[in-house]
Amino acid sequence: MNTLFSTTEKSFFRESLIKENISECLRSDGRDFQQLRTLESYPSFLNNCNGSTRLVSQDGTEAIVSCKVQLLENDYKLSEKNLLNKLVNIDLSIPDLDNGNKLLIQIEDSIKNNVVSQLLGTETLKVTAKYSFQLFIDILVINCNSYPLGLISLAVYATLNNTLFPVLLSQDDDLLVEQVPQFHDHDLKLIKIPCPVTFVVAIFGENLLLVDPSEEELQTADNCLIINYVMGKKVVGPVRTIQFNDEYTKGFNPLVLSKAMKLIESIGEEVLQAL
Amino acid sequence: MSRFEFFTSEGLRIDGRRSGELKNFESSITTTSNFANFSRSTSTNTTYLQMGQNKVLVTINGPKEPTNRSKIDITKATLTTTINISKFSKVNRNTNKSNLPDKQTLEWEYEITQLFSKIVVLETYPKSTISINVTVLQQDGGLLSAIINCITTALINNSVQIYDIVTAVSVGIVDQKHFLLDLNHLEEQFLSSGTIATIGGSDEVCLMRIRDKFPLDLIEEFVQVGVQGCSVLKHIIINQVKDMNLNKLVEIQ
Amino acid sequence: MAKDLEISNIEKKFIFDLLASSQRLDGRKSLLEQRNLNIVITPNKFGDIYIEYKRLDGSIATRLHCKVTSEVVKPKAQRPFEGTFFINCEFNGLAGLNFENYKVGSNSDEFYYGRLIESMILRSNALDLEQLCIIAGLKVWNIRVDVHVLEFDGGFLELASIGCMTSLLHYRRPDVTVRNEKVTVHSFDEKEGVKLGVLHIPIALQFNLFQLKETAEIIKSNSSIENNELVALDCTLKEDLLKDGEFIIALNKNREIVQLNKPGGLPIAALKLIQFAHMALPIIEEITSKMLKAIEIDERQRNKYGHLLSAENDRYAG
Repeated sequence: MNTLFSTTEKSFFRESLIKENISECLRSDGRDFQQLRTLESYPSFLNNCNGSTRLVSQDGTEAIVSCKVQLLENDYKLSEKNLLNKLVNIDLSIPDLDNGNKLLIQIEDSIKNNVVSQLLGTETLKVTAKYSFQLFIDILVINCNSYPLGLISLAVYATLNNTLFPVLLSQDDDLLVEQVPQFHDHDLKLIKIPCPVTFVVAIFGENLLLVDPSEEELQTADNCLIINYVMGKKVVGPVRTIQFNDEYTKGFNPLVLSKAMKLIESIGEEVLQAL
Repeated sequence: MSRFEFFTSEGLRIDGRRSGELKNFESSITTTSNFANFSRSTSTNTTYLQMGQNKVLVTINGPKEPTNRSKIDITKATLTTTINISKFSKVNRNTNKSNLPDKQTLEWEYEITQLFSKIVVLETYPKSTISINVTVLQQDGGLLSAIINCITTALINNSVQIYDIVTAVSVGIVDQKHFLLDLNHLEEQFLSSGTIATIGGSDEVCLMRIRDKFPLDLIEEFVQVGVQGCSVLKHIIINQVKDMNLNKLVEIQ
Repeated sequence: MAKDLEISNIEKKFIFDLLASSQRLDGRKSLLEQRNLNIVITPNKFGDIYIEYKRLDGSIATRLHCKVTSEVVKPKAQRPFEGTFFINCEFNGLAGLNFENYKVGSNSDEFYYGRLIESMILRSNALDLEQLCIIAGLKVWNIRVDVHVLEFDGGFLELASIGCMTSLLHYRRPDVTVRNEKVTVHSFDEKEGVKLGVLHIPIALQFNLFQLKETAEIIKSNSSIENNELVALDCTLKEDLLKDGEFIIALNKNREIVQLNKPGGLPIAALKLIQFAHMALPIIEEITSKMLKAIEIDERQRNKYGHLLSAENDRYAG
């Protein structure tokens, strides 16, 4: 993060990407325009946690996500949304950044909104009439070399897909009976929590869109889009823009937006299949 | 006495090991150098170590130019250590809101910095800093020893010059007579225990730490058991490092 | 400690040569000789102690002030039946200008030594915390020891551990009565103070290591017979800055190790380590008896007229 490039370096990166003919444009790490960085994934590698994933990206950034499940008594005064906000807890830490950093809060919020938005209206986390599962999702980013949101969201997606929940033994209707739910000692079941994956797309000019930009590209892009994609060829809101430099940032043609969404729709399925 | 029988008359421990048996030890490196030759950061190597249920990740940053000018030492490199114990590392999640390290972690940081300042050949890297970043993902007993072993492996993997390999084990005592090597979580909680680190598998002790009451007359045996464990561990580490580097070589080619 | 102090190479060599011939800068003739320990208990106060190391010529080398205070607090949620204990070590300008800009709580030697003493007393149950409970979960005593360094020429750890233990042994907390969940704290005029429950007396001893050869040689030589290092007790400040490693052992009279720490530094043969551990015992026994004697003398002075006020009859052994 915050790697400083000289003006010459930046203009070199930019010039190699802005060309008349799109086939002449080159990414600095030799990737295709819609290619993500190579990932190594180690799912379920922590046995203390209900679910965990370690993702190592090509540039050395590592995201470690753990998910722990606890039981929480429902509070009926809360609306569904507030309840879900209470049930889903995200904690992100990047060793170099201190606790109240804006970047951390922004990423935390973004991930949390993604998870909560897909849980609204479902009863995935409900155990009994009185109790729900509370999720603690801890995210750790080591060796952070570029904007980590894309990597983190992939890791969270993979984690939530391998999180095992305890199996309920007692009855699920306990409104009248005073009892704490009983769980099976060993048996665990997989509950897939749908979670959108976030893609970062860098915009260069009218035509060029780069998926999963590296630090060099972030620092030379016109603008960046954050697009959420959920299983089943759907782009879900919110779509946001984010800027990483002052030098090159400018507005973009609204048509680019629909182009970017189409692009994500076309590659999203493949990425999720791979994880 | 204790609620558990830590050492049965058949000579077995809770987790089925014998008294002098080590936990399974596994280390690996994640190198991203084989992905692409283009990489800015010098610290693309992460060393991952599993010692029983301890899971530790170490990244080494440097040797590089210090960001803070006042930290420059003209004759040798300066070493810094940070340990980050993740909130999910224990069975019950740590609910502490702040990310500040606790006192024990600070102590470990101090001890590890002191330890490796003598082990790393600092004179070869004048005017630079080497920072060791430790992340604990899961903890079982004997965490300090796992961290030390992982740092040693990481230093080798990052080609930082060291005089010799440092290995560490934890040792505990049951009923004033049986010595257990490489404790697990339960044993560490209920027994008098300590950590011992030696250099190069010899009997030169470079770190020792006993924080519980311990009978003075048994210290000899304690050290003996620890030194033996360390020398066994040294061979394991050497073999694993060799294997790892062979794999790395194959991958690059 | 005192990182701003720089020692010139020539002075460094001089001190090393002195040590190699078993001589010390302040005139001591042996590496294992300690300076004179002097315990001064402030009369008319409880747990207020000055503790000093005196040089051979009688001047004061190091002086620490230890003071115990207590207050009623709410206990920690995890331990409702136990009082709390806290040690605050402070170096400030009084000890020398070079200590002035030290941050407390950072990863420094002072922090480490302070923690050592705290955990030495806490983890070994030297201070009975359960006795400090007034109402479980609501009110307990918080015992706080403030250690201030007034003058410094090495030997912090020993003096601080002796000082803390002496002041804890000497301290009386105000008596309390609990009636219907209401707590009354009695002043000393009303009721005699209550002694703290000190179960055993751990004292720390620091062995300092000086290396004689190059580090590479020591690590590669691999034999414990050779003499690779010098070991000295009770270093002065200059020696302290030059040391290459340390070895801290805290023992009590009952032949128990309370703490044993070798935080990195110069590697040392295991056999020697054991030797030192055994060597520490008589030294610690001597210090303990010195401590107890100082307290006894103070007690006698305090109760000068105790026998007049006593309602007890004289008894004669038959």
